[in-house]
Amino acid sequence: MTGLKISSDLIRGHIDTILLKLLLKGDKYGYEISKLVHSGSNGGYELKEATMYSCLKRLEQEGNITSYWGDETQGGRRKYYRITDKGKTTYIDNKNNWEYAKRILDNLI
Amino acid sequence: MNEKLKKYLDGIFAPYDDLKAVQELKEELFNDLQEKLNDLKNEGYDEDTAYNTTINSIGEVSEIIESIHTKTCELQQMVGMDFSKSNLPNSDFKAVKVLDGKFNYSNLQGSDFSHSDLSNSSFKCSNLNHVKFDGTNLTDAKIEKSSLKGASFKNSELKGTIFKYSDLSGVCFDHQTLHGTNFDYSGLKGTTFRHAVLRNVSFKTDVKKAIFDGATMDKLTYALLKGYRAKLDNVTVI
Repeated sequence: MTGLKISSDLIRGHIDTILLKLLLKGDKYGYEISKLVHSGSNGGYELKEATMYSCLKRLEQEGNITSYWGDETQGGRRKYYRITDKGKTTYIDNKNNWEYAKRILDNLI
Repeated sequence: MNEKLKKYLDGIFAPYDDLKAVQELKEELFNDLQEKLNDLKNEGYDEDTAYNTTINSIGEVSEIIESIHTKTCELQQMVGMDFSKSNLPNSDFKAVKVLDGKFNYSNLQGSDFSHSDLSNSSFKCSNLNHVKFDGTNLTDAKIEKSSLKGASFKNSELKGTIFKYSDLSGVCFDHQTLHGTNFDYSGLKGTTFRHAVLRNVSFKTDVKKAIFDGATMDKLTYALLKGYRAKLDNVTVI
């Protein structure tokens, strides 16, 4: 990866899909999600907190995810996000769109 | 270090602090960042590097603010908004902030302004029948030439509120504290001020049918009411 830095614009349009995929595997709270994005990209992409939360809030408004406060006894309480059935459908649609776009781009670039 | 982080977040969120959604988000963000800070320190980074890396990972806060219920934001920050000549019956204005707002010549019958901040707002010639102002801050608001039948003002803040030329018949101001409130030329037939505390309240109007049982008032208010022949048998003067 030396010298290369993923253009955040390239990824930006897919953050919703990335978040939905992570939530498919179980409910998660904010920092947990940002750590998984970091490790899942082998450190190549750092999701800014502001970007992540703006996506989470939007996904929630659209009904793709729901949230609830956890009952942590120690430290600060955490808000967990859970994918809804609508969110699962959105994920599949987005993934199909991406596969399609990827084939076209591979031919074009 | 926690304090430093908290102060930093307080600083960047200060302009939006009134919104409940923003307060919750700040809490989420603070807990995330604190955890990140601890992780970085455990990885062996020194305090300053860990702190700076953490702060840099926030990104553009305006991005999140924009995403929070755009509608809520609009509703909650209507400073100086003009709703004049609007037909808005039964509207939900609960817990909104409309400082210096204008609701002149509007139909707001049955609308709910509970727990809102309407300081300095003006309601001229409006239909405010059955409007709820429960817990509303109406400091220095001007409600003139309006109809307020069946309106409710439980626990509202009425300091300096002007009700000139309005119809307040049957409205209940029991147990309220009225300071500098002005009821000149208003209809107060059956309006009740039971156990209310009145200071410097102006009543240049017919108060013969208003009810002041158990009210407490200063000498000035008492003298004025007496001049207008209010029934003041059961009143305490302070």
